[in-house]
Amino acid sequence: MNGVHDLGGMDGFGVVDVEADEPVFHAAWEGVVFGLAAVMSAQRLRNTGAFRHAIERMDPAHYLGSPYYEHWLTGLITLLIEQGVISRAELEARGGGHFPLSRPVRAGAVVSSTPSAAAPRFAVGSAVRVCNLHPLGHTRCPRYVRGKHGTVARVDGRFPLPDVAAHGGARCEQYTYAVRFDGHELWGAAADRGAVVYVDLWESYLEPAAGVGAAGRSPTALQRLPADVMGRSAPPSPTGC
Amino acid sequence: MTVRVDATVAAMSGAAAPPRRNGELVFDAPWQGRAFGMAVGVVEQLGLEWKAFQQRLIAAIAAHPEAPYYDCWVAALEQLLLDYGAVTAEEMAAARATVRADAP
Amino acid sequence: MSEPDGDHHHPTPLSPVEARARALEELLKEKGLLPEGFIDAVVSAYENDIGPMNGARVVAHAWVDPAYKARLLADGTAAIAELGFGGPEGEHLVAVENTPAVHNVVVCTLCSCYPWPVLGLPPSWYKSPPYRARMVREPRVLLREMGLDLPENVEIRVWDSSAEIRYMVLPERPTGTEGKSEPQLAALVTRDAMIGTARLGAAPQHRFGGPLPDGSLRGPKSDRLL
Repeated sequence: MNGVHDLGGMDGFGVVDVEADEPVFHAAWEGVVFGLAAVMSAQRLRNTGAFRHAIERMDPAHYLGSPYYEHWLTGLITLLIEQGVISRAELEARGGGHFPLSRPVRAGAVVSSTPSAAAPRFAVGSAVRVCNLHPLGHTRCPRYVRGKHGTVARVDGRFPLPDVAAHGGARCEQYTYAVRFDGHELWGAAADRGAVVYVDLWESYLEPAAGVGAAGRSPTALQRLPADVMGRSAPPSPTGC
Repeated sequence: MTVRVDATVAAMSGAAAPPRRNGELVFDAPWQGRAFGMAVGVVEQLGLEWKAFQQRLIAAIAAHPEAPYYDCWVAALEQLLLDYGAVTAEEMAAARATVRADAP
Repeated sequence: MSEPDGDHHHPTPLSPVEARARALEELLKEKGLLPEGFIDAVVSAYENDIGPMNGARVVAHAWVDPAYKARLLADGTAAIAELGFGGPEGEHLVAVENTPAVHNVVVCTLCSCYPWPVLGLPPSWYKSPPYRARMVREPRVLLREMGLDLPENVEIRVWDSSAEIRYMVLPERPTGTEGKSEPQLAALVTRDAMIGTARLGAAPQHRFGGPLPDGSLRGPKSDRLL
């Protein structure tokens, strides 16, 4: 989803406060938190994507106005209520008051995708463009790179596509790639000179750059990669992360 | 002896967070490190959850916000031991008197 | 139990709180509430087994052993496992190397992904909206605000941990450290240098913090080495 959590490139936040003090969470909820933490570990909450998406579904003002710990708590509680592990009434009775939950998953959030073939579709040096996708559900494709051109700098192993996994779909494993984007491509001519951004993207987030062909490898693209980045791939990961 | 690091202890945040430099625990003096270890040990030996100590630590810091962190830590530990009946006030007073007598 | 500082004839008196702490320890030992050696084991575990000391050891080893450095850059996961590090959020680790011409910095714009096995728990600022929003957009400006002023000719590479790979920065070895042992080198490595918001061996130009009135460099809420 194009949620408030997708913060890359947003302006207006001011300085990074390196001595920021996270406020201590309200004492009344501590008992609830510790109890739920035990439930969570007992249930072995494995689906990272569902948990992340539960956080992404928070009301934007709540997300931006609360400390990190409260994101975790809200996401956890929302999931446990949605899964019927606890009831909202029980929760609020224990905590002594109203607890804001995340919004429900949108209709249409469930998507399907094709697993990667045995061989990666792209190679180091491939010129790619990020697809113009705007799913209503969970994704790990940041908004700031959609539609942008980049060069594959590294090919990693196959990992379950979060867009499918977060919504309970059948395991759909695809290669991920570190894609290098020039600062000017992302932020226009006035961007920082000499700044580049590498983003790790699943195969279905990418398509060959226009005019390059299916294999996506062109001499021009290779020349744009620095020598120390070219040719290095992370070893394929075992399936079963 | 192997000690399993408890993430709840390590992840304390806010006013109750132990001093760190560059992510690592910092003790001004050995006694602070021993106080840290004592609290972890006492909680475990009494079969409590870490929050039993943490809540008393938060209360001690709130009562004396200007006091050094490990002064509050020791106060919280004393309170915990008294509350759970692990030591009595008389025993604590006697132990302090002994230490003062032995020390210069 | 530690002795008071000072020599035999002029020992330093115990502060009141230290006296209370010592009294507690004696009392607990008397009552059998603490097993022998427990306190030492706890302090050791919390000081040494979590946090950025793991990453610092990886860096120091890479500095002294060029073959290890090559393995680290080729396969970070396997290389840190050689030193006994790994586990959650570290199953797919990539180490990126700083050079005089290239500076790397790590962020997770979408949440707070961080290489726990080598760097411990992420600091609050790493998880904060300003850091997550701005580092990909204006890294040179933001790094300068955070105390690191890089010349224009240094390429800044920002790594957004958007998938399963976790990143750590391999800082440059500071000059003048030729004679140092590996543990001595590890002690020079800071967490911030392994995230990429600091470089080693440079004087800090930081607008936050600075020395406290008593000359010490850290306070209860500060977890940055200045």
